[in-house]
Amino acid sequence: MSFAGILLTLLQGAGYTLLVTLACAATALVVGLGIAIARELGGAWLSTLLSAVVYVLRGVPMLVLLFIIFFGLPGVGLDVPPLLAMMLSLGLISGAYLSEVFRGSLAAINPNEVLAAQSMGFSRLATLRLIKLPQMARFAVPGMVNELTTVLKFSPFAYTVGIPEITKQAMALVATTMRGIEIYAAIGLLYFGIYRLLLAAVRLIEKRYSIPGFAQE
Amino acid sequence: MIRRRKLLASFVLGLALITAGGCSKGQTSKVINVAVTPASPPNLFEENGQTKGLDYDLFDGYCKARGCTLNITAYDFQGMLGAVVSRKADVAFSGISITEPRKQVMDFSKPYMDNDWDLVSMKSRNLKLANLDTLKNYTIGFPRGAAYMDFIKTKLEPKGIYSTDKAKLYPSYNEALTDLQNGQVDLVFLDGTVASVYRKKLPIQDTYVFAGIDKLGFAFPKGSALRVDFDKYLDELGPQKRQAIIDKWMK
Repeated sequence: MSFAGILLTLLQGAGYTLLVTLACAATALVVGLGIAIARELGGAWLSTLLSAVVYVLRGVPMLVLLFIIFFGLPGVGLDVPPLLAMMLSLGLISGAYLSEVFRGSLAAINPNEVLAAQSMGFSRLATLRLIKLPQMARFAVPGMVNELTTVLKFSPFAYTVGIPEITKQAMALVATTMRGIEIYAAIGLLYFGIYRLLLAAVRLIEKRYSIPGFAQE
Repeated sequence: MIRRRKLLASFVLGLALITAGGCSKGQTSKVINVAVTPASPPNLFEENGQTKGLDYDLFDGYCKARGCTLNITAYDFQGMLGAVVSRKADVAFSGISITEPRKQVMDFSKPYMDNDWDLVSMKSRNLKLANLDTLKNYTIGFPRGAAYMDFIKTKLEPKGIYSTDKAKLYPSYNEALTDLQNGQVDLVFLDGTVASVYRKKLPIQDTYVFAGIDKLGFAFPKGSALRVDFDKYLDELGPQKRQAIIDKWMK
């Protein structure tokens, strides 16, 4: 089998790798944003509770949480499908990290702008929606790209719960050909390709919503 | 804006369908959910995207006889066993050894073949052990979740022959054998069946063979009615036909 043949075989799993990455990244975005907004709008007790949740999620190994959800929950009658298990483990953990990225981005907003909005009679919700979130989203792009990359690199764990992504194809191929070095090199190339693809998509979105002179790197 | 919302709604709906339907329990009672690890030739492997092997032929024969279809999901070795224990799979097979600790959490079919365990090394090292006295001088690698760990713990460690903390664990045989070639581990534990395949592909040799200590079986969730019926099928098949299937893959 040629190197191109190896790449083609591994490509059969690339769709699942992309699916897992996008599904988990979407979950992380919703969770991270939810936590950041709740911290802004909720009271002190909610903020403390969410900080505790983030603290725990950031400390739990991803594989352990995945096994608890996928193999453990059926023991109490909750059968979680593989992709949902990935979203509830990798997505949640990544969401906790993203919430911290958003917290930092919110803190970077000029407090005078918030003060000006309040003096104009903006409600807390309106201040968040119209002043804070649009700026936060732009400040947070580098941190979000980092987290998206982390999600992509953790996606091979999907194989342990039966999702036939790139790593699964590679394991099956190595078992019959024993050409480990070439196959692992091909995996590296494919992941790099997917990373560049995702990065290009993020850059496009960033460019579409960029404001000249604001939050430029 | 409406188009964008429709696009988002389609993505969410598609995701929901995949999440709810993907790799879950069978749609009809005739579908059997199977967990395998496709890195255990000749018992179970993939070729050109097709699942093949000795174990597959045996269970496929059962399914043809009973008119059912297989919904196969590939895991790593530990995940495959976990799928049976958590009842996500109705059966698992990929050269699974029948061991006492496993029998506590899952049921096994009648043994379908006897198996040796081979400690293999690179031919270039010309490593041969007449007995186990010097085994502790070498590092041994094998897949995580494999039965070798229990064997070392219960049989070798109490006699001072080897200790579990010296063993190196890998995701599958692939990585263990790659590390053997790289010289990072001295010996690798292989199932006799698996060794028969890799001896043809790699410059490895048997350093020591634990003969006749292992039996392979199909793993089912505790209390599985499928196991009872599969045992009946093995009886119907008879030892000669079963041996013919084994020989087809071992030769």
